Amino acid sequence: MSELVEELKQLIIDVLNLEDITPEEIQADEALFGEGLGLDSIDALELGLALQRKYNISIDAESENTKTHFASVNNLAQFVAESRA
Amino acid sequence: MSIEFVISAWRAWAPGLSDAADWQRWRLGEASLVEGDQPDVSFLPAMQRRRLSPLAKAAFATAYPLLHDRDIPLLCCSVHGEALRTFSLLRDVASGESLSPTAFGLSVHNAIAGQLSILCGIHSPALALAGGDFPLQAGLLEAAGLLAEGAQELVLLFCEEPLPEMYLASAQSAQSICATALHLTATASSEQGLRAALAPGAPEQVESAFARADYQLPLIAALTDGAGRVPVGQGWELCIHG
Repeated sequence: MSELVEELKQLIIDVLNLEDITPEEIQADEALFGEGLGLDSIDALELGLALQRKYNISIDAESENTKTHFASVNNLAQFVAESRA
Repeated sequence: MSIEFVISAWRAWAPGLSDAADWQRWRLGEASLVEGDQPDVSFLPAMQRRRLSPLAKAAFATAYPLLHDRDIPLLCCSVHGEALRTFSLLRDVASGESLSPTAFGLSVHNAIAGQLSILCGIHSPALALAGGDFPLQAGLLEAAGLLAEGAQELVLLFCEEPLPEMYLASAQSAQSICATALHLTATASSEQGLRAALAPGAPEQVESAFARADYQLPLIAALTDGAGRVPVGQGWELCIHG
């Protein structure tokens, strides 16, 4: 799981062009959107697309759970792990 | 008939040439374009910088310092706009790939005007022009219209980037990214700056921007010299005099 967490941090940096941020600076339990890292709604779409491409998982934009899945890197890791299983 | 302007300030960027001193050396033949050089936009926070393309960065490097803390109208003029971004999206469409939402939103012709107005907090009108064959003339005429309607000052930006190879059959590509920003003020209200007039002249045939992609360079040369006559369209020229 910690490997997946690191992989997702790097994916976030690459896909969203966070040039000045290192994986170490992203706290796995910190909020990705709004407070915390400060990502916005376009980032959410971009990240969703990257997850679909890389892990071949589908994301339901209407589902309430999606908000929870995208709340932090830890949540994303858990979501990806479960969806791949 | 002639239309008067005052150019209170200007900035231009091409790879390796980023301030007035660089352009002076370019005029003297002591400096030339440096391939691979990127516009410095380190004055922007990283989270604001990350969505800017190299072309948008050149637009910011030139227009941002002129707009700084001024809520004034902005005119962004580019024949091809974000051509690389648009082309890469079209390629994804053709191969059935999902489109990047960021690239999609920022491929429109007013993307740079939008990014500048958001990041500079501008509430005044922001316009994007393509300018057709004669972007300098189109941009200056639009600027004259805004000033005649009562705007006291505005920023007029020109920017272009090299085109994807597939377009080269129908348009000449810029050799490198180039951006020029002018801070224009209504003549009555300004004492400092270069006086300029858009007037009938330029007897010789003026080349279309589709045939001459580096149309900004004669303007930059005249700005650097503080004087000069720049052909801007069929039978029209911009006369700059100090």
